Amino acid sequence: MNGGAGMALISALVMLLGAVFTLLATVGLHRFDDVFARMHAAGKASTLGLLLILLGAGRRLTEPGDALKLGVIGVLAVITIPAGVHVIARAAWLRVLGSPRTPPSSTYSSW
Amino acid sequence: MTETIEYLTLALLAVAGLLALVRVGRGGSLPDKVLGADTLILVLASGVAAGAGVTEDTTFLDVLVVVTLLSFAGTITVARYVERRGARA
Repeated sequence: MNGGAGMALISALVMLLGAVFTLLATVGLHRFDDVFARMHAAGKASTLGLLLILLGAGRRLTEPGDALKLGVIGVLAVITIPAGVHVIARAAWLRVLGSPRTPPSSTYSSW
Repeated sequence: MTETIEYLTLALLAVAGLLALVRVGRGGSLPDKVLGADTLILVLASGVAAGAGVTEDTTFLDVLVVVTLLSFAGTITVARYVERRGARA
């Protein structure tokens, strides 16, 4: 179950889908108005895009070790990307409010 | 057919990288720039992965692991800096 034009086509289509998701994530960086809406687009869609691209690329690589490496990258990405975006959200939140206890409504609207 | 789709994939990723780069430049606020840079590195990693899949060349897979981890460390470092710095700028 290796190679073949059909398999290459499927893997290329999966990679194309991943690229579309990644592109939509960066479009979201421009279409949304503030950091919190933007990280909603950038954090989730680009993770999905990377995973789809890794999946498509994994279908093309013949060595089992390479596919394993791609799997490791996927696991690392799923762990680190949401954590990184969460830290950005925390920093932005504290920057807007000054402290995590203050109610957001007054400062957030004028930000 | 397959080749066209592969080129299209790489082209879309290039456009995505450009959009992320514009966000880093225009910013809006400092966390926006950090988020843009984070997304840019993610697009870069996606591009390297797609390149490895298209060319079936596995040389850069190790680079991919390092880039993923370094982007995490970099994002946390800059976000901590933004947090410490507090208001404005």
